Amino acid sequence: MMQEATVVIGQAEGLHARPAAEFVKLAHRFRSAVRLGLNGREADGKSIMAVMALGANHGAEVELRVEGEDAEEAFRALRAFLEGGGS
Amino acid sequence: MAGLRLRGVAGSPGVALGPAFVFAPAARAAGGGAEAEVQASAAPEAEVARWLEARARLEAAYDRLVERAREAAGRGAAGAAAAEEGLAILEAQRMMVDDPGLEQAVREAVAAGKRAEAATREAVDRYAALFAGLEDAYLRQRAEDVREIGEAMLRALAGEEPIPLADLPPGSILCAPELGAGALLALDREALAGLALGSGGPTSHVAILARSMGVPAVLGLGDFLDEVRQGARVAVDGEAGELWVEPAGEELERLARAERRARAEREELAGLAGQPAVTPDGLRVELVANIGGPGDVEPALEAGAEGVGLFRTEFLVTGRETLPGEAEQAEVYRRVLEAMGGRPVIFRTFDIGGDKPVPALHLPQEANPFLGYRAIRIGLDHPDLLRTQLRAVLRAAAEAAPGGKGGAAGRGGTGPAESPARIMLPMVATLEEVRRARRLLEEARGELVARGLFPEGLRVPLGIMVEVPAAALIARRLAREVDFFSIGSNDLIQYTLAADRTDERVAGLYQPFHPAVLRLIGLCGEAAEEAGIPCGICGEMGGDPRATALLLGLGVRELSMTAASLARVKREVRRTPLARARELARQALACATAAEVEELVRAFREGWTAAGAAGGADAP
Repeated sequence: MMQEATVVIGQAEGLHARPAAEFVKLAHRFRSAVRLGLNGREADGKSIMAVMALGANHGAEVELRVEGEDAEEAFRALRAFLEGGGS
Repeated sequence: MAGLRLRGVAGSPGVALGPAFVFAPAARAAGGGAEAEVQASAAPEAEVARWLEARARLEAAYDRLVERAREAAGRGAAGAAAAEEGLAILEAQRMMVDDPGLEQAVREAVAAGKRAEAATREAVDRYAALFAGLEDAYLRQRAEDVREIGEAMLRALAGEEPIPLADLPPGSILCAPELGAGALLALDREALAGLALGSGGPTSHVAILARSMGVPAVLGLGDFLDEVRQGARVAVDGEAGELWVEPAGEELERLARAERRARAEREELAGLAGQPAVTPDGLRVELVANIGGPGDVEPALEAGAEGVGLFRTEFLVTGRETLPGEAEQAEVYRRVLEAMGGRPVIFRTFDIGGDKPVPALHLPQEANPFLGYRAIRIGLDHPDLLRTQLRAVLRAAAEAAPGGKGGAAGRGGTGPAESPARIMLPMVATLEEVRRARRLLEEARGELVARGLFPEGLRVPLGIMVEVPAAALIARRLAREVDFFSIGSNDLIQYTLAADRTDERVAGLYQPFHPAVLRLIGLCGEAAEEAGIPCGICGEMGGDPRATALLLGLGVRELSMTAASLARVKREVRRTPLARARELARQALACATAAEVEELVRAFREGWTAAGAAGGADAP
């Protein structure tokens, strides 16, 4: 199954440095494949370098796509994280 | 041939002689048998297996580094904030090693016939280029992290130790283009005799850490590694900011003498530990410590601190998704007060924003954070945040005061008992800010008294940090409404000269001895004396022995610094008569340039050095 939505980055620092590392750690807790899209570029949500290189700032609109058996749960957790609700 | 002298900047005082341990990650890229790597690989599966095996070794090496850095951060020794930062960098690097994108890129390149080395280089270059092209300055720097990992991976593939610094030979002078705080923390301190780096300035994290570790360091040497052979005999002169390569003859003798003297000095300073900080003409000066958490208390007391002149409380909120409540904060504050055993402790309210983000507050990014939304400005704009902190400090003060006994020698005479806890507001620019904060403090106090959590008769002084030139210029008016001043020299200098000290291109304008800075400090000292309140300093200048006489002459009576600087400053106080310090300050205020002031100070202090040397081995 697959879930997809546009999410506004609520993390004050953007998806840089520490938040990027936390996001990737969180993504690794799930089996589903995680993709993040921004301005036509796409990143593997389980790759810290790809996520950091996306350079998503606070307020950026990113497309979050989660695909796999635990997609629903993963999507909920990752979306909440991106919106700034913590992990 | 008397050896080669390379000029850099003084990073950490002292002189060290020893074999160079050259750590130049970038130097490898040019070196390793390129031909073999370009050659098509016969067995892609074997290449992938070889790469995975190398990665496993690199993971293990990083795990050890992270563990060591975690211990260092946990010890909370001087520079705990830098340690935390270093740990975060190492942890992020550790995740990069494991990155599935990196593995994928390597697998694809190997499948296309590349050897593991070439595949690694290709993948690393691609990621590094990606980072280097980003807008965000912090992320651009991550390109260096990626390259560092790439180099470590190539070493692992070559069967070498992936992170060679992990086993530094004893007595080494570490020579590297740059070194992160985390990597420095991961080093074996016993083995590291001195440090020579291509990058960095006197206020960089690595300089602060080197000083707190007591390791002589020269920074900002540029592309100096072309001149330094692995194992060459080098000398770090952390006073002059010079690196000597293969010094010989008289030069070698001079450096060896200086190293012995530096060692003797360390011993002399250790002997001062139990002595009071009094000038020869009887002025008692308060020497106190800057701390970043409860873990810093013990080293501060060991170094002879008579109190805490700056408790940076930000570690409670930075990087956190949820803010700590009153009880959690009060517990931390009480522990520090108790550990200090009745000695004064100045709690600076959260100095956040700018370069210290707080995720829980969702602060927006700013074009000009140092002139923006930070420190007391955030506190007054989020009164709940500030009120919670004020209540927490008051509760801690009440709990740590058995029977309301004031720990510090009560300045107010027979008034109400004074708590050793003091509250300090960061970045005050206007009188209104002080008044609004004072109102919040009175409200907090009233609530606690009503709840029976605070004794009516206990006084907790409220002071300000003077770091905005505007505050120094109205010091006389501010002095009537606050209980103490503490000069935040780092920001005061930065704002006065409009120069960001972390920007290497303008760092030369960051001049602590600029007459404009001294005048502002003098205004604070004068105003404080008139109003009968203490004037302290808690920036880097407070811990710089070259500035001690000037500061005393300008009216500063409390010097707060990292624990490692206390002994040197105490020695300075003990040999500086106040009358002479005043005269020095008067002359300095009349100078036109920082260079003139520095020359004045050098001449003033030459007497000490000559007197010290006459008793030592330096006499010709």
